Amino acid sequence: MAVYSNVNDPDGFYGIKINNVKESLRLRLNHEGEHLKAFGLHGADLEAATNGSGSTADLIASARDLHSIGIHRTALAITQSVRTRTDQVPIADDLLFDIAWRTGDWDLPVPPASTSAGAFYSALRSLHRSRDQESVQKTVDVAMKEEMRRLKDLGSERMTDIQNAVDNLLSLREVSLWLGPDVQRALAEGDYNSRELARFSEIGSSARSVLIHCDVRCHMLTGVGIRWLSDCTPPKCLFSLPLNQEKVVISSVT
Amino acid sequence: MDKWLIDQVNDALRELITVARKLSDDNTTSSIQSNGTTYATQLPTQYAALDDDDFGEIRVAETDSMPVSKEALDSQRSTMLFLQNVVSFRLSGAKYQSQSLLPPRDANLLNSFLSAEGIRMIQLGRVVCDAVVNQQLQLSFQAIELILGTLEEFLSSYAYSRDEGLYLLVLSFLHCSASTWLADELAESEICERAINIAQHVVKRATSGNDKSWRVRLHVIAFLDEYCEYQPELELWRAHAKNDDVPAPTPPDALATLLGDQDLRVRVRAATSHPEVLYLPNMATHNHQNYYEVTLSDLSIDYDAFNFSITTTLWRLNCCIVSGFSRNAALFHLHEIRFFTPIYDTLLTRGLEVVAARLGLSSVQVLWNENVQLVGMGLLGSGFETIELPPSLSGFTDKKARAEAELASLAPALIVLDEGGGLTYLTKLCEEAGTTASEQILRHLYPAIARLLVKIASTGVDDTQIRSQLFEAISNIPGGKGKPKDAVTKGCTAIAVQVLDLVGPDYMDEGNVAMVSAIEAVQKLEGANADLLRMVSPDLGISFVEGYVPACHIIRALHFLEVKFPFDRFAVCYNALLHLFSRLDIVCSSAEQTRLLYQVGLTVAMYADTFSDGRILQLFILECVSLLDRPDIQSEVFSLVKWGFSMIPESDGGLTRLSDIIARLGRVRRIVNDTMGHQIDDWVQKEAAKWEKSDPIWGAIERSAILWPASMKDQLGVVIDPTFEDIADLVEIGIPSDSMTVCGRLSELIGTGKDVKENKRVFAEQSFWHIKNAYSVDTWTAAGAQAFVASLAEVDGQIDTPESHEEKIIKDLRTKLSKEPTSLAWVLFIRHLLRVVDRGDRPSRVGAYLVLRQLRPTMGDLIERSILPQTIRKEVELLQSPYPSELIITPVFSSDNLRDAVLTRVDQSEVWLRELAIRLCDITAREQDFFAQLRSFVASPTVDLAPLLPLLVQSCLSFVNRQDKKLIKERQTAIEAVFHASLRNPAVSDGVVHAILDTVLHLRSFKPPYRTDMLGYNHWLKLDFMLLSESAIKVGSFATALLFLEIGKRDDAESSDAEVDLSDGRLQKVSDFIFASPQV
Repeated sequence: MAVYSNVNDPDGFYGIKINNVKESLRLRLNHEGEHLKAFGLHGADLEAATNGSGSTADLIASARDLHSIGIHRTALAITQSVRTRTDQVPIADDLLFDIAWRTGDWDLPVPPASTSAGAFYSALRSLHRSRDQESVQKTVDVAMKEEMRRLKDLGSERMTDIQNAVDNLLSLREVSLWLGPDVQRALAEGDYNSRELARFSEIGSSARSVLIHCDVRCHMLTGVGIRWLSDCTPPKCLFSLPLNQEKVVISSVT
Repeated sequence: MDKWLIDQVNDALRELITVARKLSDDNTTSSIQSNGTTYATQLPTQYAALDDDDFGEIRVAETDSMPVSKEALDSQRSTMLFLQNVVSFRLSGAKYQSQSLLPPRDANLLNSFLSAEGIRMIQLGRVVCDAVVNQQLQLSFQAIELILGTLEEFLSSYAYSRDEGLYLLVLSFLHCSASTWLADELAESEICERAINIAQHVVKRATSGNDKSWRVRLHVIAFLDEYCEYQPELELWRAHAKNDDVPAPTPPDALATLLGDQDLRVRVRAATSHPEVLYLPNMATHNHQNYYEVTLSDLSIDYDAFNFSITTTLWRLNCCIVSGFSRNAALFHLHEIRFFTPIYDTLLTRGLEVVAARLGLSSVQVLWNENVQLVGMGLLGSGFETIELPPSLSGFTDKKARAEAELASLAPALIVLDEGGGLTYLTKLCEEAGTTASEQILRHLYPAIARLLVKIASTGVDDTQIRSQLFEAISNIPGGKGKPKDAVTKGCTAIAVQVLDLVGPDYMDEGNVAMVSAIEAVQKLEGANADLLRMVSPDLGISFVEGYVPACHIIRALHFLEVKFPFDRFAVCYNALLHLFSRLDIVCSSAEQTRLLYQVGLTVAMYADTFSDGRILQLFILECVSLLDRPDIQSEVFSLVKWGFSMIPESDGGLTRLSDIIARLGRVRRIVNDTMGHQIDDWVQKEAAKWEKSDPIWGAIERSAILWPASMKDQLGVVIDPTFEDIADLVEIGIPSDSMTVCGRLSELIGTGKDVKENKRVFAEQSFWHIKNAYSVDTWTAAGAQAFVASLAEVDGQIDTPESHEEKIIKDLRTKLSKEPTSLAWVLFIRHLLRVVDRGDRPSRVGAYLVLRQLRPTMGDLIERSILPQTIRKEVELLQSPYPSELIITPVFSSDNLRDAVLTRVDQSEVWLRELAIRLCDITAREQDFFAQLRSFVASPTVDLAPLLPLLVQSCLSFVNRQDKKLIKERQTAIEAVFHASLRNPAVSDGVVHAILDTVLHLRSFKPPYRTDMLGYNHWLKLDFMLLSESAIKVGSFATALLFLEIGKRDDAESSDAEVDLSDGRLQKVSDFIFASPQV
């Protein structure tokens, strides 16, 4: 979800006179959250490109649009195709890690902990891959520490960035809670109706944080059902049909 | 593992061990039984290479001086290595064959050594010693005895009397067996005496010049080092000394002798080893300087002999590191070298850098500043002026900076220097520092008068004579303005404070006579408490500083001052504590810390009655608690803390920061050592019941004790149950190191209490922002972070814009003082400085207190008219300026200096801020003297100047005659140019951009004196608001960017009467960022 207003005055956008019509349209579509239409615009640019493959910026913009409307795997394929183009590496990497954990792609190279997307991807990958709970918790702690450092550096006027950092921290907390002894005990005992596991499918009062949380939660829960089967979780953990259903609902909301 | 699991390997190794035994036991005569328990007394008697008459081979000086052939050396080396490998294999084999895995007592090997002869004996002996050192072989008591006997015999034989190998073997054996013969239970034994006699023989020979081998002398030093470690009291060395005509030197004397050895290698080792004798328990600390000087007098100093002088220099440098009590003298001599020859400059600079680093000081400059009072005055007394020294030797980049630092330390002593050369040198220093002697004399007038007063009072004359002599001495000070009586009357508080700073080392007298007389003198004073002086009486030596006198003379001087020039005891005590704690904050030397603490003790003892004033008691406890982490003085400080707490119930209740004190106590408990930690716990346990009965103490404990570590909290005996509001308050007053601890309680309590909704609001609007800003990677804890995020989850991650109390307070002040812009500027300054005092680091706090004291005369009107808020008024009422009112500091910079190249260093915000702040101070000082005094504060590298810049710009534009339009314009233009140039510079750092933006925003909250119209607040400066807006975008300040955009466009529209051009490219770009920042 794109957050467009830094100054709590979203209508101020319409007061800006922009000479470049195409740029104006692009900004308006982004501002209004019309990602599908924005994809149409970026796609047209790509189709019209004279060099055949289109510019890296257009490709990333298209991938971002697709990612925004929930077509993650296609977005991932596009992002991976432009990742090696040196001029866009940091932007592409952030987008890549952001999409990768949503699509369950855990084979990317170890990301730097200095970026939010990288740190969060590391934490989730560790959760899915590692058998050692302590090492997973350590990765989550490192990610949390980095996110708090970033939060400190943000001035009080950067509310959008601050809110993003808060969301990232809350997401990391979900991972921490998942690693907690109560949840792990419930998983080990197969007590899928327990309160500890049920809370992961609850929806809180804040729509924004719910969307963030649920995305993370669904990934952890579907991870139990799908990914962990092939890794280290016993087969009895195959449950969560209702949770998967919820993910479908949430994905459509997103 | 006693054997190899594979039989074949085991058998092969056994075979190898047998071969190794055969190779090393090439003597069939065995005097030690193979079971290693009984020993025959038969000693080796046959020396195949020696004649029957035991004269050995005939050796003459000619053959001795012939170099050994290369082949022979190679052969010896190969044999030695082979022997080492064989013995090592043999001993390791024996070790692994035994069940206990202990090193064996290989009797056969020792027998081989004892029965060997010539070079073979030496080689085998060295291998045996190495094996003992490497814990491959054990030496029994009897074996040591036998080997000692053999060595004694060899040493007394003519054949070996000049054999380097034998002496090295003897030293090697003494080294490897020292733990046995120096053991406490063998102190009286014959074996100990014999070993020491051998050692003394070798040491005496090495130090008397009879030993030609540098290797032996080098090993003698190594052995003496080790001996001093084993037996630091040296009583066995003295007890077992032979009654020779020329007794063997003691280890310290031997090391001192070897300092003058002919061989450079020996001298270098001695220069490192000798200073460590100052650590020996018999070397009383106050004798260190004397010992250093005696040693130095025995060394021939010839600076032309570079070879010798570099080792003497190395020794002096080591003396600086080892003892604070020899440091001043050593530093004096090190700097003195430069007045004879410059060839050692590089060596000295590097050496002093290492000394500073080893002492834990940040630079040579700190080392110089700490010792300049003794070194500088000492050099001056010897006819050398430090001004001639290269500045790099003192850690300065230029002579001006060093002269400024020297003036701060030396000026009072120079002003009152008897010989009269002091003032001449003071003038030279002033010229170098770019100031005037008259200004410096006025600046240091009160410390100088204090010195004169103490000097006269210590002669024992009566009050009348003190008065007349003092006035006469003051009138001799050139440049002193007004009558001496007026000077003392006006500055009696500041003089009293400076008198307390001259308390010297009372321990110096035998039997503590001076201390006793000090206590007796205090007992006679009204309102004093002599017990407090006992608490801080130093048990360590303190380096003597010229001009410092015992406490009894100080008491006499203060008594005179109080009787003849009645002063406010409360103000004296408060300002003296400020002054002394400020010094304690920055002083690194433990001796100086001890002395300063003694001065604090004397102040408290003399003015104990003034501690009923909450402000004095609060300052005292706060500062003492902060000093508890200093290991050298913590036990005395702890006594003072305990006394301070006992006084709280008796105070007038003005302790507004008790919660902070309690929080600091917990913080200190975490970092002090275990001994002090347990003492604090015990004290808390003992006092808890009393504290519970005291509302202020218990109230503060209930709020802040959650920050205490569990072991300390448990001592209270009750569970502390603070509310969410208490914790939120703590977050507000807290400092970074506590933020993670507080987070835990915050998350526990946010969902509790009567009004959970209010709790969440407070967290989202206040606590979140405080914790965010206080976050530090160093203090981060996983538990604290989890708790912080749990609190965020409680508010569903919804954070609100921070609630600013500061803005509210400033708004009130602005309304109240709308017609008095200069008063408003003062109040804002004072508020800022008090905030630095509360929360700043130590050096910043010291600087802020000094500025506040200087600002005190300016506050008179603000206090009388109650313009200052009540809380601030109470805090500043007791402050007294340390300078005479006549002191006028000449500003260095003018508006033109705002064009200086240094202000283009926008990539380094600290440098840019400091240079700009210094210039603004100087410019404003042309109208308001105070700003010249503020200069030293803003020049300090530790002060955070970003919050001060808006105040300085405001002052620069406010403290000006509003009719002088030309001057106003000149200043405006200069500041605008700096801001524009900085923002346009592509290398500008975020820190500089933030500072400029904050300044412009701050100014908008006030009206300039020269624009009284409605929108005057926008016209402090004529700035390019589009540029400001673009800069705000760079640092992510979108709301500010929008504000500037609107102001800029409105100004354009007003000035040109034209429509705002919304299609302007710059405007569009900025608008894009503000409204459509692509943040995902």
